Amino acid sequence: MSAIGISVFQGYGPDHEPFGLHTAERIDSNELLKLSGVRHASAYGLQVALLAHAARAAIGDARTGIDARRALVTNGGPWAIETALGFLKTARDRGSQFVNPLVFPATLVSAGAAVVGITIGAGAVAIAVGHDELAFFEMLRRSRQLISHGVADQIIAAAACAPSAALITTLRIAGRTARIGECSVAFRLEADMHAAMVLEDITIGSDPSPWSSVSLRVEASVSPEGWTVSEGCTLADRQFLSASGAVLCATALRRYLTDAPSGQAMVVTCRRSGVIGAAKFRKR
Amino acid sequence: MIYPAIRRIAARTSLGDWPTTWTGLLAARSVWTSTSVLAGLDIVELNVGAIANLNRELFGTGEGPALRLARSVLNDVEPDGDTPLYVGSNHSEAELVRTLLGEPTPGQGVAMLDDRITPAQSVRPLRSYAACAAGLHALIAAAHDLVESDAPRRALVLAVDALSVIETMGFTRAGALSAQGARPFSVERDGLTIGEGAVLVELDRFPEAHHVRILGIGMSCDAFHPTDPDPSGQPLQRAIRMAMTDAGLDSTKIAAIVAHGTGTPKGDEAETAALIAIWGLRPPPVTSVKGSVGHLMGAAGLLNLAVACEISRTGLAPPTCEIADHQHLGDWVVTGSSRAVPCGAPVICLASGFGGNNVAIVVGKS
Repeated sequence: MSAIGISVFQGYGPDHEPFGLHTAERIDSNELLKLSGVRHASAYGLQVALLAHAARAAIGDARTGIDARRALVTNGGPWAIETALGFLKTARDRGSQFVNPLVFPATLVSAGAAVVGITIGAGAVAIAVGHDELAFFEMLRRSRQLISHGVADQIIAAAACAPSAALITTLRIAGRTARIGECSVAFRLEADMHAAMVLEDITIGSDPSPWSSVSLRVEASVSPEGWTVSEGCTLADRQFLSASGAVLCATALRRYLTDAPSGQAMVVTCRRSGVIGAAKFRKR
Repeated sequence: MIYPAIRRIAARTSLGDWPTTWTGLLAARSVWTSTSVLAGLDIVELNVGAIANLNRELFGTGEGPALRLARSVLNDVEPDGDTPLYVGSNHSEAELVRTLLGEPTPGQGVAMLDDRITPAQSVRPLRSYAACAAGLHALIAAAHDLVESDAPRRALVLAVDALSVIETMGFTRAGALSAQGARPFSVERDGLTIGEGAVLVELDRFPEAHHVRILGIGMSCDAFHPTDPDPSGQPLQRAIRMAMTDAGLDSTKIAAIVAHGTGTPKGDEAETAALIAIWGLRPPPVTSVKGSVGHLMGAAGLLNLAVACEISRTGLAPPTCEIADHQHLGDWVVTGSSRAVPCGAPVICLASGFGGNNVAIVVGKS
């Protein structure tokens, strides 16, 4: 499989901390929703607004109309349960006639991909993939396939995370106590090779040591208590759920781009429940 | 590109299992008062009492209907634990919502539907979310993986959606439900009928002669509106042309079309525009199953693929129900009884989802 050019973008303006990892206290949710470019953004929630900011950054924030060769691949996951619960509780407590039909599409897992796809004119595909900490590796694999099978020339692989009451409850009853952090990050993958680095390969499986000859490695494992990251990058004391892999890769790649010599390969792996997602990058 | 074949099909629809569903479709049977707990309720008049009843059924203890449907089709094929599973669904978080609407307790355990399926499979499922095109996107992911890898030989693709309070209320409040039952492509169509079901197909990289194969894949996105299709039908047209090009076929070689055909005024209009742009006023026979079994949401696309495979295998295109007494958008719509097409010939199936994700897949024996 041929290598794909890959570039990293953050979801906030350049004056913010990288990838929003440490900006939770400084987020103005209303402002983010307002500037997201998503119609009825409040119905979709902060996570979708963050996703939109990252995706727009990845295409230069230029509304260029619909591009039939541009695709959007986002992280799936239980993002819509807050909306879905609100929808159901309104019907239960007040009657179905009080349910806002505009909120209905926002109850779907695919809602974020759909509405952000509109904002960036993703005319090839706008889908969500995966739903747990390995989601980003599944996103990368689908993105590569969409390029190699001729569906798109440019893929925006964007992942975001934001806490909600329903998500926090979900983690609590699952026995997980870590805080959920806000983040958004987007990767632009293109068949043409102008990017400073390439995604050489991607794998998801039970093999514990993919590309073992590569010395530069960033390894993370997920447990109910949170993340353990070996070295190479530091994550905030928060969980990013299905955006975790994107945050890990983005953080590692920033250091890698700065510190590693040209031609050096780097492997980022994430282990969860015995399954390993791994991506191999190479700097030009 | 050599895509895998469809080795086995299993399904649960309101007509029954897959063999019963297929014979029911050929006989123009229509069962959209589903086996679900919603049967007997006036879905247009949902009120607090009805919701409470539904909550007891849908959000009570035990497994939810989507999970039960998924397990039942998996049991049909008795998969080995090493075959990868690809899942497409509209509301796979429904299992979470069920838990949260109850009185969850710490340590109770909580998971999305896909994870609840996992114990039957030792291989982690791969999930795709593309609203009502989710099933076909899951199929495409599986097909691409099989094309690119030497192992494994086979993959399972599961698409499932059960009737839910959310979608019933959502479509009701959006004014998208038919008062009389979906009449796809009828000029008197007034909306969709919500269905439920599960479809599972097994893909095989090394088909036998009698297997129908995937010949071409196309996809596009309207990027137009969260729920409405692009009325021009141009993005859908692009997906169809991409699939035919991928298959190395021109439009004259397509023997039949299994349309998305929801029965909504806007949806059928956009789809008709796409078909006419490609085939003019003489497209191959077009059929929709949604007058028979309703709209299976996330499973609808994979059901269309199953129907396309049977059409190619048997040479019979089933009729579109509920339009026999109505005028329809073109005489190319199969009505009344099934229509003969050449056995083994390429058949195209379509699916479109909220947000405008369109998928077109050509299957056949060529």
